[in-house]
Amino acid sequence: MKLSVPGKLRSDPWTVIYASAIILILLPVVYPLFNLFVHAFSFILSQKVHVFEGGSVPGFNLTDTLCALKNSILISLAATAIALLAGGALAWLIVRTDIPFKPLIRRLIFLTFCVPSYVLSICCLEIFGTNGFLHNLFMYLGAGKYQISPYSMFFVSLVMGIHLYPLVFFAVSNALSKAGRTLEDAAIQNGASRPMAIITVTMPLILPTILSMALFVFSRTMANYEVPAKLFSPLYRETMTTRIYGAITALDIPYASVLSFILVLISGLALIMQFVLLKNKRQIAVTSSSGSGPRILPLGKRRTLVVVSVMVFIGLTTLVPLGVLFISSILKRWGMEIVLSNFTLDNYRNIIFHNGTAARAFWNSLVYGAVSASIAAFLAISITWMTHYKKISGKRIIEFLASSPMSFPTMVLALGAVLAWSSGWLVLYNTPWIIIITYTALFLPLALKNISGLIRNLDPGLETAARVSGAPPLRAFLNVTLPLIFSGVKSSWMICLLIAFREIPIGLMLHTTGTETVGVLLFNMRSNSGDLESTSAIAVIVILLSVFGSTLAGRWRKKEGISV
Amino acid sequence: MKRKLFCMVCMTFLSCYLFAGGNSESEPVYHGSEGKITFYLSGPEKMVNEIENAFEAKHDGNDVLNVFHSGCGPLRQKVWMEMEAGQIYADVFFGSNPVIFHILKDRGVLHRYISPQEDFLKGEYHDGDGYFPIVNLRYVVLVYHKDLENQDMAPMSYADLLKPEYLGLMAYTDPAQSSTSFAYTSALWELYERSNGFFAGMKENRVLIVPKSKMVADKILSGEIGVGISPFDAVFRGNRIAKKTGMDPVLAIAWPEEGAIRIERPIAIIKNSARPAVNQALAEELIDFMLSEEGQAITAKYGFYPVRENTTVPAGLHMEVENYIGIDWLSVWKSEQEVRAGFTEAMRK
Repeated sequence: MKLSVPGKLRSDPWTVIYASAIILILLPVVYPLFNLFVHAFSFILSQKVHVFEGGSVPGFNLTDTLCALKNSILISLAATAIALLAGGALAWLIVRTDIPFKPLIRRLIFLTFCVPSYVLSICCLEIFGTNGFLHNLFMYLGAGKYQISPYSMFFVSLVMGIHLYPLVFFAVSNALSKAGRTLEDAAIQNGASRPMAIITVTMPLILPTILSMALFVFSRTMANYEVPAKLFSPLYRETMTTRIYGAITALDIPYASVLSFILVLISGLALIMQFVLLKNKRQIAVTSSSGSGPRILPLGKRRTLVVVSVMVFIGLTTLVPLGVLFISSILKRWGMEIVLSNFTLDNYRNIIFHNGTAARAFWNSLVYGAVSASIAAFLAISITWMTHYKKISGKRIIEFLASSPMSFPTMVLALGAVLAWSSGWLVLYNTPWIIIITYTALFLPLALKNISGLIRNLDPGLETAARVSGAPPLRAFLNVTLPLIFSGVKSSWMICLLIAFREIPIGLMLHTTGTETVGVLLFNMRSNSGDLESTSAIAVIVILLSVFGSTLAGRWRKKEGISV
Repeated sequence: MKRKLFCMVCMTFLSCYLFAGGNSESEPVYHGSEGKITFYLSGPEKMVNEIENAFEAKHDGNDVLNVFHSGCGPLRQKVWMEMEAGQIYADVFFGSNPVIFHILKDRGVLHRYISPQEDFLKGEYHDGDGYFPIVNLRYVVLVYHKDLENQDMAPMSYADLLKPEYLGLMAYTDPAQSSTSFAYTSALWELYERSNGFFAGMKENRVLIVPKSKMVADKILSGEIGVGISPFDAVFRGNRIAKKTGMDPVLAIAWPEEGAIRIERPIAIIKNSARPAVNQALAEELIDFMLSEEGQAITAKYGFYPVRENTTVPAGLHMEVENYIGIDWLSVWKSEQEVRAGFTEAMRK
């Protein structure tokens, strides 16, 4: 039941807040993207194919762009397959079987989730590189010539698949838990075998979740820049994101805008399909939520084999990379023999006590992340509250605009910000505010998704009761609704803050002296020998922060009764 | 209701369009503060800090410099993006290679200033018209792991790198990401009769492409590769750091038989009529400082060759390099896209 407040919003303080929220959405989201599209279309209309007078850009032809697009799609498809296979299989084993050590396996998968994709690609180099740990093991064992190269499309897909499979795991686990046993049992009682019941009853129930996650993994992989930059660019091969960055480096901003536009179209399509699938999922969930939890199937004789396989998989994808990262972070120099005399804590000491840029980067990420997360949370609360309780025209458009950055690669957001805020009526370029405003656009869909879920689950009668008792609208919200959703808001805020610690393209393109972020530090870190030991030390600190923050967020979420 | 909604959407996009269009023809604005100038430069971090400290020491330790430090490629990109967006934020810009300075001069965004220090420079390093004097030089050489000497595999010339014995052992810097690499890629393009033959040969040898020129030496130090083309200063610093940390300085240099490629590093003041007089004076002082004996000695300590006569240089820096390949920067500017395309074509095979 909705509040019986009439559609007109006169004399309501929320009108002012809502109007402010709309302006604040237009500023970080719509205005930069509009600038980007204006640049892209000006480029197309003028058919301008060169930057420098008299020269053309033959390197940036259609064939190369299609090749980059093909590479992006192939990598994304492979990563999606890996993530679905690993995440789906593990979710099934955890929810539907009697596999032992379930809490431990969940925690280890959660740990994988805390490792940023760029850090995983560094781990990949440290393990598989020509001077990496596997190479050394080959030499030690005398196993012949080492011929594995981490620079390949396969490793880009593998790293992205491993990075994103925990999200598939969490989503499919939730869907399987909610699917219940009633429908499956009914099918069996009607003569279906267990496998047939699973295929014909349970699988269709979770299929929208799987497809939705497949689209999500696909679009996130398409949008990723740092992993292909690390593992694919050394072969002089491109994906769409590295090509956009290449266009910017080659000083061809209009061309970069066009490429960004293409990428946004693809990601937008994936987002729309995801919305449609999730809408269907909600309809199914209503019909299947009754009954008890899913039936646990015994693994029987294969139990030991399955648990060993799972542990080996998680060990190889989580524990080995983290172990390698930690060892590298305490080595005097990357490439040295792993003996006690070559270990040092100097890399950590330098970062924490002696490297002014590093300390500043951590502080900046904290401040920018906190400010942006707070603005995003405020906007999300305002939008959701108003769209949920008030009859307002255009609320779907506002919701759509606020959610749209979800489909944009962060590099595109950064490019839009450069074009929008470098000159004109409001100049934010070369100030921390350009990073804060772009982070706000990045965080807004996440905050909106979490907070709208919380507010929609509340009974509007609670606030109505406060209003009937004489409380003004703002007080009714502050005293009744906000305390009920506050833990969830904190959790969402914390997740946004953690993203600020692992985000690279926005920081990389928008930072200036004094506004470096952790992502910039990770990407640009220079040390004695190819960045790896100091970069590894920073990565270890970022992972520890992520684990701590995510655990805290998880606890707050539990308070609200939201599953991860 | 629908009409109202339609009007709202139209108004939104119209205002965005109007604001978005307001980029180009605006009055010059000075974004800095009085008494503090913004200095964009590339080079090793320690050198940057030393320049900043020495210059500020001349101003009683006052914070007169706002330094933005980055690799030469990203720096060039930043300057370009700012210019495209309406205004370059830097007061003084130092590093990269002369091509971007030629373009900036051509676009009329450089301020002309003839430093009195130019009188003490070697004659050939005068810009001539005072737009972008040369501060120092980089020589591009062959670098390899010392272990290759034991295997009788030390390269002597660029052409040697195409031998099959270096298969999978070599790295080269991406000219699209590093302006230093673009400069020596252009020189190699000229050397190989304006063709991409050399790069195609490297590709056949499964060359690894890295984003920064410094990373070639880094990768040899860490043992990932054995040989490459690198600026001398990166090797010089790599070995010095290795010695300081008690490691074996494994980087060896070969001055190529064809000649080391010489890259000039200019400095320039960005034109801005709104700049306060005190900041204009500071910018000019900074140019003077970079060309002074003190400024030249600081950059020489990090492996950059000075352009001033009688500068104190550290051991290991050959004062006069006679066998070098000079670059015609105007020609490089004109053939930029051809070189980039040729390199890309060779690498995509």
